[in-house]
Amino acid sequence: MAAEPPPRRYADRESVDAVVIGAGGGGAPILMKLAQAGLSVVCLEAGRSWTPAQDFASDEAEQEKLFWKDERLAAGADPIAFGRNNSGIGVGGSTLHWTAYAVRPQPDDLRLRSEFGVGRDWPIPYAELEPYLDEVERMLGVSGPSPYPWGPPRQAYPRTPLPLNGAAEVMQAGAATLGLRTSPAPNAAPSSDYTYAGLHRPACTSRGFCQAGCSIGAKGSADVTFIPLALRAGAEVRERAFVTGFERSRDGRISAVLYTDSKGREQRQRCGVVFLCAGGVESPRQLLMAGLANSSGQVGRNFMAHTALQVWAEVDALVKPSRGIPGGLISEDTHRPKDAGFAGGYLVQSIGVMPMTYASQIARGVGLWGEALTSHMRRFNHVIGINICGECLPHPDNRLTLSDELDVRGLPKPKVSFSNGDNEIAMTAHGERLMASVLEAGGAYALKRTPRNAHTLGACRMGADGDDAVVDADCRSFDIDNLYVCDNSVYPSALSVNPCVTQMALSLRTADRFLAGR
Amino acid sequence: MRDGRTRAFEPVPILEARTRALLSSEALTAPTRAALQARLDRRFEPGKLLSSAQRRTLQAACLRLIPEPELVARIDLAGAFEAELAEGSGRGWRYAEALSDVALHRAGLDALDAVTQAQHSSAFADLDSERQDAILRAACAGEAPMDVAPEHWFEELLTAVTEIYYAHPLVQVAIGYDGMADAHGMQAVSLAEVAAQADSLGR
Repeated sequence: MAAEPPPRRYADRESVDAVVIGAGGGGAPILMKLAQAGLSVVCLEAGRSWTPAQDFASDEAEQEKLFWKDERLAAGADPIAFGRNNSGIGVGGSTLHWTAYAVRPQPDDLRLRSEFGVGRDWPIPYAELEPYLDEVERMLGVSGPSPYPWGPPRQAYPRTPLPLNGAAEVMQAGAATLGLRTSPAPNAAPSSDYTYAGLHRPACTSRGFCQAGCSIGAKGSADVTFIPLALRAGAEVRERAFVTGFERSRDGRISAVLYTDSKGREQRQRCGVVFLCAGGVESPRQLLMAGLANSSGQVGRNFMAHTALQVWAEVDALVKPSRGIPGGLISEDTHRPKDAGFAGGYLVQSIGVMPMTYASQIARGVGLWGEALTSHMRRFNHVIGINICGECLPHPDNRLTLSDELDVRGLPKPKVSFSNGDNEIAMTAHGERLMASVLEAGGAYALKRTPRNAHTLGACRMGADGDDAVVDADCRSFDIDNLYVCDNSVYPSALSVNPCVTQMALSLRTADRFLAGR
Repeated sequence: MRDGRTRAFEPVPILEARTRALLSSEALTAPTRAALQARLDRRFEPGKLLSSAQRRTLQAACLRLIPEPELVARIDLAGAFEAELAEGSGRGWRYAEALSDVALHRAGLDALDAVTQAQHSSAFADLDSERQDAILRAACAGEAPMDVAPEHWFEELLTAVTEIYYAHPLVQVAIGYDGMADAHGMQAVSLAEVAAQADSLGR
């Protein structure tokens, strides 16, 4: 690889054009676009940067360093597990422990209210996101089948599908028996060496540790894609910079971002515009702590988390379930099931799993302990799993608030109250029946269910109406015209797919809209 | 178990020799070797968070939650749990209504012992395993007489010790997991390939 120029450093007292808060799937694409447009831009990232080949072990416990560990409080009928499930820290953000699942939404996902009369439509038509989805897939080197069986016609994936593991093969066989169509899933790890914009990434080796960090730099996480291109274009990424507040000028606009630096000193970065991309929990938390951008009263409300029930089973064959890309096989035949009785739909995916995570879920989620747990774990190499990822309707009482408890930084802990509604419960029951049928038809047995909801969506939602939403279709605050929010918190509906590539596309669009308006 | 093929465990000294040989082999990358070697070699001193009575109760509970006594003793599961509690690294969340971790576990262990004293006039650690299991079943279900334990205590204890246990290289090798053997590049993935490579670690 050619030597990169030394990274840009802006002086503390210098005012920059833009500050981006968070170096993950929301912030990194914006950072890149703004720097490439010639703006002076600083990214404040709470975590550190990593050198995967030196720092990443094929070991789950060691890799817990990729998870956001400041304590969050989970409430409601279906408390959300944070930590390893839902939030990352470090340059790359949650994309560091992303499964690499790279499924696009379908156009009707963005029109849920028009189609079903519930939830919200996105204020952006699919056609406007599509070119950005194309760009993201090219940049990440997504491996997938061409043609792809579901959704509108689309560009070919840059790489052919990754190999299917045991869980995918069993799901494929079971689904075929039932007449459910399946396909190798699109995943953001190239199946052969890949170069984009001078960034070279090796082929995925099927190690299966996507959720613990890719040690070879194959996975298209933000740290090996958007971030190096942003640095090359002159952006600065300031590590271990934890944002604590905002300074405002007399006209109410933001004039500086306050943060604690890597040595614990209070710092202040003056700027022309702020892009808050701290993730589905930290972005609404920042706004609530600062008392900003909430004339709608919607900050923190409508927190959504995909229906994501997992069903596990055993097979006689040797599987080695951690191997291969975790989400190897997909079906979107359940995108709008005919016998649904609920709004929206879901996808079904095969899943790989690492041993500590699996044991933990079987203990916490199934309640196995003693001989039942240990004898089952001796069968670990024969375990397969599948899960759903489905729509979740917004509800104002599913809500992030600030608790009275302070965390290690002396800031109020966020409290997230979440309960599945009738729609989520009906969808999960539908998915559970289908997954059980698929597994049994595939010859698997001893089914175990681990209920869960996944992803952190919606608590700063975008919309056309400033009384009903926090940001507009350009992800700009209705209240403060130099404040943008762009991460999973702005999703007005959950979509029936995993959120990451849509987020990256939305961030590219947000940057373009901002640049066009300058 | 449909086919009855559970893995029988070998004696711990033999397992440990096999694990050390694997970890020092060229099958592991340096970061993976460093992480697992450190865990394998780590020893724990009694901490200050728990009283000696609480620690004794914890040790007995660990043996029923994970009834593989030789490995649980070698790993010092209770010691590792107490050390983790003291480090306070946490998991990034807790149930909003639950006590903070240290208070939760102290109260839960006290409840376990108090219930045992009331029912059997014995410390939990001195009870036979059948009766210990009966009390733990009540704790798992949140039912009497263990409904006096704080909410979510059993779930958090079980989850924490399960994670510590199955993150340990000795246990991982014992259950036939070979994901730590990560230095060979491309790995076998399909059922046919995995079967063909069944005994070559990390290939």
